[in-house]
Amino acid sequence: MATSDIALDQQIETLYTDHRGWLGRWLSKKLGDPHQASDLLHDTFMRLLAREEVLAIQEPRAFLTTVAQRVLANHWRRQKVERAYLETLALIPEAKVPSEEERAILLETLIEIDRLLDGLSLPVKRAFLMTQLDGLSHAEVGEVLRISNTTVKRYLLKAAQRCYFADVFPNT
Amino acid sequence: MSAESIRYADQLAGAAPIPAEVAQKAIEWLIDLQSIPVAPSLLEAWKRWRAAHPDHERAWQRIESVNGKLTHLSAPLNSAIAKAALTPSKSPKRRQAIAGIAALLFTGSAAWIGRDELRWQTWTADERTAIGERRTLTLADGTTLHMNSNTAVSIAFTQNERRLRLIEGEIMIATAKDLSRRQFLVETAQGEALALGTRYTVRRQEALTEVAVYEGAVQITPRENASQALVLNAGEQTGFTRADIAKSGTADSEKAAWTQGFIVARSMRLADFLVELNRYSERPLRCDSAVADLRVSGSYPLADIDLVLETVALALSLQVETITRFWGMQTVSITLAPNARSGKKSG
Repeated sequence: MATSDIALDQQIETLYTDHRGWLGRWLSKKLGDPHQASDLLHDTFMRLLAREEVLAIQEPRAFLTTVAQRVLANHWRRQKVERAYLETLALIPEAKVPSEEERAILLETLIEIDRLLDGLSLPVKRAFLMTQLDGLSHAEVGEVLRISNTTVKRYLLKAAQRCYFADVFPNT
Repeated sequence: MSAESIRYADQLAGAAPIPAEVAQKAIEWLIDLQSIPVAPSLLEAWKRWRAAHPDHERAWQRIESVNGKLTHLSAPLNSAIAKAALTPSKSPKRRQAIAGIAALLFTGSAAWIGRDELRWQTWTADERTAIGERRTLTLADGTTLHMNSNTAVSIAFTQNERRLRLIEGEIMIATAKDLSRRQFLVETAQGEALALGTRYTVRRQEALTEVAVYEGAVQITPRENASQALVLNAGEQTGFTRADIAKSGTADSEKAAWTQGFIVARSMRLADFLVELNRYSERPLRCDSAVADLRVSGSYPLADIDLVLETVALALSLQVETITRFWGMQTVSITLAPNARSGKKSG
């Protein structure tokens, strides 16, 4: 383990000891559930551990709140996808419902794709998914969404910029 | 690997960010390649672009890594679930549509496309197998019915006869003695095959039905030419159209190896072998014309097509190229091609 890693671990340990109390309470208030709060508290610090360098932190509270907010946003996004997913599954005849393992993989994939498509409007997402998942042609997508071919292409371009190159096109 | 972890790996490797114009171009390629059919010249141009600069390839890999994830969602049912979950709608109409898709999928995996008539026929079948699936059933009279990949049959047993309609694919029948001595018939678009106490296969091709008899005998009657009826004995096989029956030949028991889960090739042309194997593969299989005449021998398990391809490629010193033109279900194809002389090109 490199020295910087050790320094980072120590720094995070200190942050944890000093701040887990109020941060846990803050999360608990947001979530209304102390068990989930302690999970997310754990996630928050795990996220810091994944960093590469020692952090230059002026305001630990503000900093931790920002990280925890991100963790929280992820959590809610996950819940949202999971709920929509379960609702959809409920519509499917029992015999056709995928196995538990398949369901778990599917859900993880859905959550990841949902994150990648974050911020895109519904029609843009639909156009993208129809093309990529169902292999529909641009004309077919246009027919379903009742939009022109040019608009389909514009949507797909936008979706692709966000989904594949969010770092290159941050303002799409 | 997720796009995020790739980005992360890029950063770790100290790689410069992908230039915006390269990313933009990669996206344009992706969108161009989604138009159907893809012109070979476009594919060539796209390959050249990828090879022209490491940044180009890096940008394309980014797209592929995400699309790799998306393929998990591209099976019809998963796609329906994904679209419903990722683009939720409160509109009752759309929710109904989702329920409709699910119901459609429930009745038959092939039915979802609904583009050609055959698909709709398939959908009325009593029993069906998906591509790559094989199944053995025991019918009400005790007859054993083996169904090969991508096969649809409807079953009509009445007081007077036992009739199967082979709508698509291939079956093997081992008839049971029927207490009430009803005849056993397999009907196709081309005609019917009456079993005379027997084990035989019937395969439906485009305009031809092939019958091979392994035990007992089968009487064949073309739909439009009943006077031409022919009795085929054990060890014989033939094909017939709506009007004609071809001269019978020797039944090749290896052709029925699928009932045991194998495909058997004896000095078979690679191109022909792939046509056979293609029946069991969701992804179209092809080979480069330069290697089409190479010979394949051996027996290969149908349960793992990728393994078969690898084995054959290894035996013939070929390479397996997966061409992912875009990520709908139908357009991922696998090609066996001569080994590239110039080093690393992988599938």
